Amino acid sequence: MSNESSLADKSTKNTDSSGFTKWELVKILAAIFILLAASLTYYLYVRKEILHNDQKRAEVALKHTENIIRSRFGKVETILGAMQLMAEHELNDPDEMFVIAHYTVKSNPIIKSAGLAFNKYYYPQKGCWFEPAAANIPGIDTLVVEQIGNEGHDYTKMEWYTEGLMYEEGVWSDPYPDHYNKDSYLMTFSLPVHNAIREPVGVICADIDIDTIAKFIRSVKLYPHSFCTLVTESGIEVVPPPSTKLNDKYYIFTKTMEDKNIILTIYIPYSDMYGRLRKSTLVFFVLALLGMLAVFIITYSYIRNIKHLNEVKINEERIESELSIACNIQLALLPSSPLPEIAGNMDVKGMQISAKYVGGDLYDYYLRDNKLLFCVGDVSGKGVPAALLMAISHSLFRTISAHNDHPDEIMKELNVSMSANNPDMMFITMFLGIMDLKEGKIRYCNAGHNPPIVVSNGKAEFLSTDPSLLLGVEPSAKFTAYDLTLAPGDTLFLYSDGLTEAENERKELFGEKRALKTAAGFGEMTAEEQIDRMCAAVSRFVGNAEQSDDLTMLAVRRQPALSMLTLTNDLNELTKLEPFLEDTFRDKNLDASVLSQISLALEEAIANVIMYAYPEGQKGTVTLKIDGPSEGVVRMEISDAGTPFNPLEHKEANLDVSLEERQIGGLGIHLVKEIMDTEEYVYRDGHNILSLSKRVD
Amino acid sequence: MNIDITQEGNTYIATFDGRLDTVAAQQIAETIEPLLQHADQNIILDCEKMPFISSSGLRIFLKIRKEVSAQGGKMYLRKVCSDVQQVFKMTKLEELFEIID
Repeated sequence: MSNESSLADKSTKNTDSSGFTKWELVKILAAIFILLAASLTYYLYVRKEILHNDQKRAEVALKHTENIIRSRFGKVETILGAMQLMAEHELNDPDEMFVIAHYTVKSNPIIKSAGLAFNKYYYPQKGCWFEPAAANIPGIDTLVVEQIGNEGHDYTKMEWYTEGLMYEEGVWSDPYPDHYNKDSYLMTFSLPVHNAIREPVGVICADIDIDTIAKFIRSVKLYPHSFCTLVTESGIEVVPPPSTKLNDKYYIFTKTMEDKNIILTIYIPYSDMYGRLRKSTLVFFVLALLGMLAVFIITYSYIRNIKHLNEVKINEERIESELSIACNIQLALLPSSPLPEIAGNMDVKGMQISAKYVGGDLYDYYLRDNKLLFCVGDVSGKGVPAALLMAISHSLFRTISAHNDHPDEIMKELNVSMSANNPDMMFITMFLGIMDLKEGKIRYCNAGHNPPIVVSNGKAEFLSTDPSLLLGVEPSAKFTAYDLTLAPGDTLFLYSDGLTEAENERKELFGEKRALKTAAGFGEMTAEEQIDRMCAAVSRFVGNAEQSDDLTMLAVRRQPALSMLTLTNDLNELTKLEPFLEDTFRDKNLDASVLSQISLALEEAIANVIMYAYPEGQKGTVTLKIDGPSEGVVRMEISDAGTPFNPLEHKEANLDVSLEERQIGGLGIHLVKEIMDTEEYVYRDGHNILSLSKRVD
Repeated sequence: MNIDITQEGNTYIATFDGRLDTVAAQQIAETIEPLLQHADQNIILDCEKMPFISSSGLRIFLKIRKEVSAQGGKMYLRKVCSDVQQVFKMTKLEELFEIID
């Protein structure tokens, strides 16, 4: 009991497929981890690409901005260079300096104001400070030209002036807030003004309004929230970060214009740079996760199905193998070799080929009270249930027929037993026969089975009596028995529908005609040879098609009347010959004179053997076998183990010479040859064999 | 096989009763001795009750005939059945025997 419950526990453990095991959970987590890792790798890779790409874009934007700035500055430098030459040319006339300042501003819109400042007392007539300047005053829209140098505006102490004197190539000031407009910035370019001997005596300068540059710098945008700043090295934010600056991390790309003390910086917020990537990675991950989930669900249900199928299959195989063992045991009870006791009179051979592992066909025969009991049955359906029922019906056949000689009564009992407990309404067709071995008389009953074939004298036809109802369906069914007599050499050939319904690859059936035709060719074959012939015909027809049904055959053949007599080599033994022949040919309706001739010929031939085959004093035997008459011919065979000697070659008695000259000894053989139709002699396996035949019809 | 020999005047009648087969032919060697001794007389072999004769039987007949012809007697076969006559035919002995009814 405890054994059984532990077995049950085990099986539930093995077959429980509804929950995850730890191992499966680990696998799922691993899959998700791999997916995450893939997403992260993708993210990092693309991020690096974006960074690299944006670095390039920022560099290009900064370079472009620098170029714009440089071109503006260059323009101013060129203009002021020209003005420097003009001032040096007109150096002698201080009033001309007003004209130059005026002209510089008026003719160059990018120059906001310009001026010329001279060393203290350079023009003594103009006083200590002399700085003619021209400027566009915002809001007034007038170009004002005036001398602005005085004690309060001591330019000689200003950086632009002192540095302007020093740098031959000119110098740019740091940006500084406009005197008139605190929101905008100015930058000043200064060049020295020389006298005739190339001594710097003053400075010419121009202010550039960097609003347009600032405007351009603000327009540099790589992303919606990116921006560009311009800061002096001293820390003045000429173009500061916009008020819309995000509270975010920024990538910073910088370009320093060292000669102008300007630093250009591009800021790109992370959210702009990687926002789309983050979004797309998330979408990728979610989609992959969903995909994996789908694959998982499909695989899981598939595996569950397979598991289920495997269990079913294992179960089926177990049952099938157990039943096939049972079936083999049952089959072992079926007769497999000829019955030795009846080999002389009857020749029986059965065969079964199951289409499936276990089959539903059945055949059996056995010997009881000098009678042969045989049957062929076919259980409805195939496989295990059919095999079970077949086994049961086989047992029943053996049990019931053991004490009953009437096929109809046996059938009735079989039917009652089988229909008593048959909820699935499975049924059996069966042909059952009981044969009297001496007479060859068969009493048979057919319960819905295929009509057997009767083969007689080269003709084959169905034994077409009205069949009774099949077994297992109606307990009160009635069964009728009929009689059939097999003449020597005749065969009753039983089979299951696996024969007539054997299918070839074109789905054609072997059919009754082919079965009849094959049976008609049985001739003198033994039961075994007949089965082999039918089998060969079916397999030739079926070809490579799969066997669709069980194939069962049973050949019951009455031996051709074969009698045998063995005598010792004593002439007195010949007295046994005549009674033997009488017994053999009784009821054969042979003509008396023919019988007499046969008797004479056999006596002569056998006497010959008795007198001459064995050396004087040696004991030996001579055997006579008689077959037939079949198809109007009696076949005889005389054999002995004596000295090899062919009586047929013995010199014939010369009957034409006079009696006195006759050699009397040849008369016997002469009679044999005269009486028989054919004579043949062979020496085989240590035996002289004389075969004779005589037509008797 | 029984052989009954009777004498009617100078005629000896041997009545063969049964099959004159090989075995019988050996057994009657002595029985026919009286016939051979009177081979100078008329000898009738009555075959009415002899349905069968083998070559050994034929040899018995031939032996008697030889003796008769040597001693100047006469031998007749009487009431030979058709089966036996058939054997005579097959052995071409029919002309050697004078068959009477």
